Amino acid sequence: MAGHKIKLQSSDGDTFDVEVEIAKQSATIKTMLEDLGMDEEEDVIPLPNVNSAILKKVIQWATHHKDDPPPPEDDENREKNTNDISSWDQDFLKVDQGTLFELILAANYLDIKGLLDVTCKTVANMIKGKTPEEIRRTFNIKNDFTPQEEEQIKKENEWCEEK
Amino acid sequence: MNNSTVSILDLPDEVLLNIFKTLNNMDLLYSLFGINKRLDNMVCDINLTRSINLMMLPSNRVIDWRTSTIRDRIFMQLLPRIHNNVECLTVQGCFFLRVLLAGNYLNLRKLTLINLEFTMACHIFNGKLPYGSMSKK
Repeated sequence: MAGHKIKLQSSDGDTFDVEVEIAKQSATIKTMLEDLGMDEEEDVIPLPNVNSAILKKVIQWATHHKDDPPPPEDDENREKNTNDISSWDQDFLKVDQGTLFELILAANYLDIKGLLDVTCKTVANMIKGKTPEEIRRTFNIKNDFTPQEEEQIKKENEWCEEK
Repeated sequence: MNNSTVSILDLPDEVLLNIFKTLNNMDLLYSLFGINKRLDNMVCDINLTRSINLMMLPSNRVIDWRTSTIRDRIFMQLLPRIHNNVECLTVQGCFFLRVLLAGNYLNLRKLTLINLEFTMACHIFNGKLPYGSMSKK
């Protein structure tokens, strides 16, 4: 029903009025509404894993994509193409790394396949072509191998160098 | 926008796998192997290493430092670690010997060699590989 709204509440208590059809891009919210019989008019849907800044971004994305066709179910054999991100999505995802990862966590929790897909592709594009050291620097990842473990890996692989 | 401190390692395994599935083998194995224990275990997971396509690996005619490093990592560190996961392997013919040296590939069902040179093909199909010490199938 166009224009019919529900209330979504973020982890920090802010409430957002959102059109049902937009909110239903989240399979999690769709299930709450359809299976659990929540009353759209009165009930507030709490989203304890999403803060208001991220929820606002998610709603912005879902509003822009409200008329998109549903994403295909079977993605096991899809082409590994990370260059098909629309220019709107590229601009939308020009955010700091932490926000990008929070959007991914929110898309995963809310089960919004399209948003999860485009955010994961954005991270994949940040990985492509980088050396491991560049990856460590880009994502601030610490090397947690002990010197002994690194030595062990080298030893295990020596046999193939000596053959 | 808030400056969040959430990092890539805060993502659950299922989401990281989602990201990794959008990368080709070369990007995945070269860029993410040997960084961190958790990423290592995920990158070497059997579901991501059953089918390996190394067609993007620059041929051994390319001899710059970076390319040589990539090849060495693939053949001396990665393949020895994942060789028993590999069921399908696609690689340029010039790397055939290095592939053999890297592991036993107990589960290999399909090997695709691209641009295999005639002399090497003769050696392979006559069962006489150029190096005497090589006795693998």
